Amino acid sequence: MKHLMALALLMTSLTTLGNGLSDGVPEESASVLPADRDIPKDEFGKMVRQGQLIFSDTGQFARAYVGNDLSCRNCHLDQGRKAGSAPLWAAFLSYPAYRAKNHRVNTFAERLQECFRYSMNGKAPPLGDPVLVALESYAYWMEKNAKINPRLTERGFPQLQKPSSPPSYERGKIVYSNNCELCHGANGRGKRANDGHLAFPPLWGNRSFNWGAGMAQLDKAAAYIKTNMPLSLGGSLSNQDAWDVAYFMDGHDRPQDPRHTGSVDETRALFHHTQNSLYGHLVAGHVLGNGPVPQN
Amino acid sequence: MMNKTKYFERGKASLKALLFLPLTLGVHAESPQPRISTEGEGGGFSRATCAGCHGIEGDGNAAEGIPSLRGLPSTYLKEQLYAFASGERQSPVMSSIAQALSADGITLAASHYTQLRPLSRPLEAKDESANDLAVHGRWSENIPPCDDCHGPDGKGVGENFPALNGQPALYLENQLQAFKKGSRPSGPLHLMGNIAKKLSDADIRTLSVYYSGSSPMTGGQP
Ligand code: HEC
Ligand code: HEC
Repeated sequence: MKHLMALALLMTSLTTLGNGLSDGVPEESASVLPADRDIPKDEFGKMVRQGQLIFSDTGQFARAYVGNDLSCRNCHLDQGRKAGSAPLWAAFLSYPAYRAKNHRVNTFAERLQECFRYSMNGKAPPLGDPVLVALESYAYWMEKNAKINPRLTERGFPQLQKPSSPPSYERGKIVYSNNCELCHGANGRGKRANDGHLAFPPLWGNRSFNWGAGMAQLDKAAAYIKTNMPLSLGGSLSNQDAWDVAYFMDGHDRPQDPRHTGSVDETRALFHHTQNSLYGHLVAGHVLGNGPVPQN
Repeated sequence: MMNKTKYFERGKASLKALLFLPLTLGVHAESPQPRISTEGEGGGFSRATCAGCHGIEGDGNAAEGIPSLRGLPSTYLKEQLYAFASGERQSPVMSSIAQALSADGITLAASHYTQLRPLSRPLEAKDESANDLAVHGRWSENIPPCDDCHGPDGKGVGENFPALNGQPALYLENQLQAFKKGSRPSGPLHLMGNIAKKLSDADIRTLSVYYSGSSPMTGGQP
């Protein structure tokens, strides 16, 4: 009897896992998140709104800690709500957690610090800093008021099956020019709106995420792209196309990994010893991580 | 209530358009593609040709639902003129006019209007759902925020994403409906065709009023 129950439990967890694995697109109806107008009009609500502002326009509202043109919302879509783009509210539920990246248990606030250091190519706000308090308040408010669908695992990016052929820069370049260039530009620089605001974020070069960021890992980039890009057409690329274009994107140089020891080889050995990182590899005639970084 | 009739089917507009037809059509009205210029430097383009409907300064006409051309990207303007000429974007009057223009005329027209300072109105969401869609999208149906591609306040991005700010509500509504029905090409990567199909008539109405910068109480007029 006990065995049967364990088996049943195992089967359920396997099917839940299966949901995310198939083609990178969440199938069942996603959890329902609260709308902005539900933010309470009190002191706590003020902090929640501040967190949302930081999330949406990080360079403006947390300037001291940002070193590129990106905002949190560029990768965590729908202001951190959307399943399939590592939603903020689901992350809130998942910490403290052990992270292989730094070999210890991280609190949620510590996880936020990492985003500033790598994805935002900036500096980690000190623990207790109002920037972290605001972001944590926003995440908590969203999670607390969400109608969560317990059958779905909406945390993180859906894992994407390996491509049938190894990812290719040359094929990725074609996928890019057909599906991405329209918005992110021929040189990956992104585009500004007529009023000067950033409209389409840069994918590589000195104003994008640095080599330490999750998006610089092929598996994460491929999963994010498959699920969310081209904008509004998520799920339209084949798995192979998503891996190829991720390889093309991450096959360009970007700001140095802040853990750089002075040597690309050593930094690779210490922090990029994985098939998912092209750091330190020769791609399209260029050893990545060695500069020069394309300037915007 | 806003009058939903397509602007060129309406009496006043077609009369106006007729006035300009002889001026612009010449003998080549039936040729499906713009021809290489045989009409001297202008290639068939003169400001007066367009001014009849779009106004001397290219401001458009809110009551007729005729768009402003001011500051629109030249790539976009050219693409539209070619699409009118081929009939892919349907409009009886614009298709005759575009067919009468040579390639040079199309280039001249586009470079003229792209240089004019665009309209810019402060946008105010009278209706929360307009602001929700414009600024946040409706991701549960994979509808991105309009502002993601058209820029904050719909002021336009680069050569492919035209400004929406200040365009007549009636024009915007007609275009969204045309994308939805397929009487206008669905645009790069079919983005607009895909998105418009997911918008309800009410969404379309409320977004059109929002980006026009006009109050819904006056039927879409500023
Ligand atoms: C360039 C894209 C990008 C930007 C910009 C970005 N992130 Fe992330 N973020 C990621 C990726 C990729 C992951 C997943 C990393 C992983 O799985 O190790 C992630 C993970 C996270 C997580 C953990 C998710 C989980 O379920 O464990 C949080 C929290 C987070 N980001 C918050 C932020 C905040 C706050 C900002 C802005 C200060 C930000 N991110 C900016 C790409 C980005
Ligand atoms: C229609 C325009 C459009 C197209 C086409 C498009 N993107 Fe994006 N992309 C965006 C926008 C807008 C964002 C930011 C989303 C936000 O802030 O809500 C974004 C964000 C991203 C990000 C995360 C932010 C960053 O700069 O790292 C990546 C990675 C990305 N896109 C890759 C791609 C790839 C690869 C393709 C082609 C397969 C593609 N995009 C096609 C509009 C587009």
